[in-house]
Amino acid sequence: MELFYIVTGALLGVSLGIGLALRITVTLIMRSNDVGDYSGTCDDFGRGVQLCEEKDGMREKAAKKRYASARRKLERRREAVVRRAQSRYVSEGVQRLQEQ
Amino acid sequence: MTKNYKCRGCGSSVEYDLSVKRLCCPYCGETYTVEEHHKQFPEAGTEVSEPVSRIVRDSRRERAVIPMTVLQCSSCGAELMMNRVETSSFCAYCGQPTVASERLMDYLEPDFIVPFKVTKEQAERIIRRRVKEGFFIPEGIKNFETERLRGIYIPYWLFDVYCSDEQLWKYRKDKDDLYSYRAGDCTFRRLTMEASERFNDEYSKKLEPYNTGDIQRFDAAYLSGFYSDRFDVGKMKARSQAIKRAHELYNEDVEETIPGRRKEIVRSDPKTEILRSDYALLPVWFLTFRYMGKPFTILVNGQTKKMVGAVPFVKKKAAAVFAALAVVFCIILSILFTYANSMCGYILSHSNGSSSNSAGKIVGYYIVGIAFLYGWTWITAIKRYRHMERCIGLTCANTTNRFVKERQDR
Repeated sequence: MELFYIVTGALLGVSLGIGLALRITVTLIMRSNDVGDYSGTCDDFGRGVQLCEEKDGMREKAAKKRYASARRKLERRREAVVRRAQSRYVSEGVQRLQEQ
Repeated sequence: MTKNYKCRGCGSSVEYDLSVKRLCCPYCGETYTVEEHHKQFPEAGTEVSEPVSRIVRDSRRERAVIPMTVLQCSSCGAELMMNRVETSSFCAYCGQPTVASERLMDYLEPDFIVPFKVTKEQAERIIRRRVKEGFFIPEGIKNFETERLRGIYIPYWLFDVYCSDEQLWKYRKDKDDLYSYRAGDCTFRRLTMEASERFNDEYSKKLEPYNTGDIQRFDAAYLSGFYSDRFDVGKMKARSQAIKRAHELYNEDVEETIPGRRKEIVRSDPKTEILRSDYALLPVWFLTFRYMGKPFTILVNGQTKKMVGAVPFVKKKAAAVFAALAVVFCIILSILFTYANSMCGYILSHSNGSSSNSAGKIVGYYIVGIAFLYGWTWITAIKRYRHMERCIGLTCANTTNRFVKERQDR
């Protein structure tokens, strides 16, 4: 029995040890030889997501009911943002034309 | 039509100097800001040479030859070759920086430009310093000889994207499936989408982020002394990519606010508006060197100094580190697992009646735990190794090398 524990323990230890050693070696090589990884975030391009409504811990039925109702607020926000952007774009264009 | 920005003092070509952020004459030392140059010499930059525009093609081997347009250098009259997307280059004979203004006007003229902030010397220094630090980097790379170092303005589309969404998220908490509701919006300012077919998209994403707060209105004078390309990825194509990217960024940001694990969107109603789109040129330094006969091209963001690239490693060093770590881990883990196995055996053999159930559970958790650890270690190790190989492949990719190489030398 003792021998069985030693053999299985050694097999598990060696296989996991090799895996861990490989993982750490590859990580060290990446840190040494590879630079410049990047995956963008919202903050790189503005202020990030602005949540106007949030609710956690709902059961399925309540959640679906919640989802089905109250969509007006977001729609109004969207329209306002688009209107503002359009007027800004137009005024910038006019200013540029005047400069030219 | 080519434009050369001439010095009014001595008549030689002026170049945009990053250190003083002015157009400088390398011969008489006269300097001008871009605006001063235009104001004082309104006809500046319009010294025109008649284009000897023709497409160079070999009819027998058309695919193997890149179509080039031949222009004439207005300084020495030599032929100046440009590929189909180049908008500024140098004369191979007299070294005069030249801007193909006709191309800028024929196609859409850029709205903005981020001028180079990093000088040629700085870019080279950054790369040399970084490769010298790497423990696994071969000596041949640490003391590389620069084959080519080129500053190129890469075309980008910049989109202002408005994203709003009402989402229902499902997540798991204490064996229960629960739901979260999120309604929100986000305005992405100047989302950068690279607009060059020939330049690798994965490489260009790694160069980000650019600080678009520093952006300037486009002026062709900024191109003097650098290479530049015009876009060949259309706005419509870039637009759909921008919308996709904005959604991904939006979802990633919202996901962080959701508690629990195994999060997934079960319902959503995304709305996207492109509020504005601009065409801009952003600066990149490309440094090419050779190692074992292969060209490696490392990039430096010309604004933020961010360096991008991966180089091969010394296999002997890597093997030595791996062997040393493997020996240590194998010994420690073998002892630990032998001890843990014998403990499990002891628990199973000494359990009876009601306690045999809990003993079985403990052993079960132990086996699942080992399987999880085993899978996680090997999968992440293999994934990382593949990622590294892909990054090295990207650095020595022929497409990147050709993108830089197929331009006229100074």
